[in-house]
Amino acid sequence: MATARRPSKQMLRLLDALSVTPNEWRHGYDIIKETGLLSGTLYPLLMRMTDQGLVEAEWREPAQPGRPARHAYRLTAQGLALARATADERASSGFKEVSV
Amino acid sequence: MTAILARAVMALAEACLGDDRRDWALAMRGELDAAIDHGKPLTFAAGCLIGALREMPKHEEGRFALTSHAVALGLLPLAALLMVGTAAGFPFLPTGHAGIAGWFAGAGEHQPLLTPWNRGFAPALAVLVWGIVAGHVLMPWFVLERNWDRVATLARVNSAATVTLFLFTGVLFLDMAFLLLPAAVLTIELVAIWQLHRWQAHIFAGAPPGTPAA
Repeated sequence: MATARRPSKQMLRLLDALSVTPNEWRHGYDIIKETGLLSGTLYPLLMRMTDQGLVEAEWREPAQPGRPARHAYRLTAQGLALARATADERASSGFKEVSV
Repeated sequence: MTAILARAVMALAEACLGDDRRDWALAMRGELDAAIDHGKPLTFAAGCLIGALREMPKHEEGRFALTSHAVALGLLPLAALLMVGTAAGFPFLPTGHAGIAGWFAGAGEHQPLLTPWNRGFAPALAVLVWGIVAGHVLMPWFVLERNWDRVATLARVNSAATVTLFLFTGVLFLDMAFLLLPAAVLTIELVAIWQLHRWQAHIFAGAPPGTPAA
């Protein structure tokens, strides 16, 4: 189950980043720059969240010729619901993440 | 230079992810150019490799790869033991020439393994024993390559050489207890590689013909 375990801090950070503009597709490296997550944390997280149906991924044509196609990600409806639920939960409990 | 190193690290990460996560391996590779533009390709690639290594125990292909390496590493000490035993004298154990009984008894009486009557067989025995050792040293390499044709050939050669050694030992009326170690090494090796082969066949059972099994 997607919501059986409490989301980790890294997952909350990813949910927050992706839920700001939920309809926008984002590339992995852009997410790394925005969230400060390391690639070794982000990709296993994205794999798991995609398996759980929280994130959807699709291939995008490269912006520059000669470069490989890039994966882009955005939250599914289920992922967006989880992002909003966890944000509400943190707001009601007065939780505030300290940026690192 | 950093970009070249990063690409090499990324290739390793892709290999660790296996076929199950092929899309994700390509996704990571697709972002490497962005990391190069940003000036941090090695950090990105190293992170991907760590992430891929952490994923390995979570999928069967990864578990198979880890087990293959463990088996290969496990076979090396066996080969080394045989090598040390051979270097110390044909009896395979550091017994001098006292045999297993003498070895267990401590110093024991030191009997020469070969008598003047059968000493002429020493070169043939030496070639046979060193051939067996070479076979056991090569086996882990072929196992890691998953080159099962070569593994099967080498297993047959090792088995034939060990059986020949048994026959030689019997014909020369030498102590058969000397052969416990090579027989045990061969048995462990054959069981381990047979189990690995069966496991790989199970993993790739649904793969279309011609699919590379690695």
